[in-house]
Amino acid sequence: MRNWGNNAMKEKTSRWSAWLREHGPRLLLFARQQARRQEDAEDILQEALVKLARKVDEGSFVGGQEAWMPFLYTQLRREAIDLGRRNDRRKKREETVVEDEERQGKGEDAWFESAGYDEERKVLLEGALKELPRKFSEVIVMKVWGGRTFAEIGDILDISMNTAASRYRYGIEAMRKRLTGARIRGDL
Amino acid sequence: MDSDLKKIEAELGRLSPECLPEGLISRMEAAMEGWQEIPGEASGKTEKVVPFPHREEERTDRGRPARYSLWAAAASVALLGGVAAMVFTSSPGARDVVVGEEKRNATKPALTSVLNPDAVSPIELSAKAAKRTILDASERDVIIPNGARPMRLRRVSLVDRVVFLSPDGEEVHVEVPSVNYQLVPVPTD
Repeated sequence: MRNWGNNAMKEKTSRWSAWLREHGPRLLLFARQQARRQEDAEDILQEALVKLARKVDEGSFVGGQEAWMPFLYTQLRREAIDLGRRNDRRKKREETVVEDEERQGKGEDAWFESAGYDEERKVLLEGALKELPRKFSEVIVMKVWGGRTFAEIGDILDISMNTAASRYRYGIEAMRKRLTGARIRGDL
Repeated sequence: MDSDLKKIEAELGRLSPECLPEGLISRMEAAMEGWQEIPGEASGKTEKVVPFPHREEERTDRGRPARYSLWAAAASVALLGGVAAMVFTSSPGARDVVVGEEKRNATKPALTSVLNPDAVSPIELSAKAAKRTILDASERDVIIPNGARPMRLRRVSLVDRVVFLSPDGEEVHVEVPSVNYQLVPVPTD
């Protein structure tokens, strides 16, 4: 078993700390959007970060620090796909449990901070976002919270810039339809 | 984009992604700094570390499989050594050396250590069939790693059987028993 707890390690870890605090929430949000469960999201985030650290340390990373985020978004997506395949193979054995997990996860896995925002509005928006097809929500997450351009999103998802922009627009439109009732009631 | 959509866009923009808990930041930092220490990282696979609770009464239960696993591993090595000795030895003289040595030292069946390297020539074996059989599975305690979601510990005994085929058409059967521990999420209210 790995031992991360020694003092020497703690001293070295400060190198990534500030960067992780700044960018970690956005990356974790995208990981959550990509993975089925919170634990899976944390795992794929770790895998992606380790790959980045390895490339940076070895000097094989192409580009500067500004290229880290696009790399991590791409990597997170790949890790999520790989994990999904592994989980699908395992699902036959654990089908009931996984379904229970997913059902529970929808209710308790919060993606956004409650502080400074009306809780009811937050729940409505978050729920609508989670219910979107992944191909729409991943573009919205990268655009709104990741600050990526459509060109960058297109590169990450291996689609054209126009397709990325269309998915974004369709996704927001789908959210608007889902939230129509709430808007009429004045909840939003 | 019409004004309705812009409003939703603006509403979304006001939401802030949840901050990373301190524990998670520490975990990520440690993983990023310690990638050199991760076994199997070269193959692109990382291992999720889940600490187990250490309770006195569990030690006896968990000690046994570890010993069994050790013996199983030792048996596997011995078996593979025996197979290697039979298959890789091209000269009868070399095999005689092995058998003779084994007779003299029956308590040390480490066949590969006494092979004469000059008398050994590698051959290519192709895998013909492979099968994993679960011999036994039992459920153990429910644990809560780091205060997270409850997980049930499951012990699975299994044996891997692989049949290799030599260029001469000779079949080599290899059996490797093992014990796996799996953590299965437990549904909770």
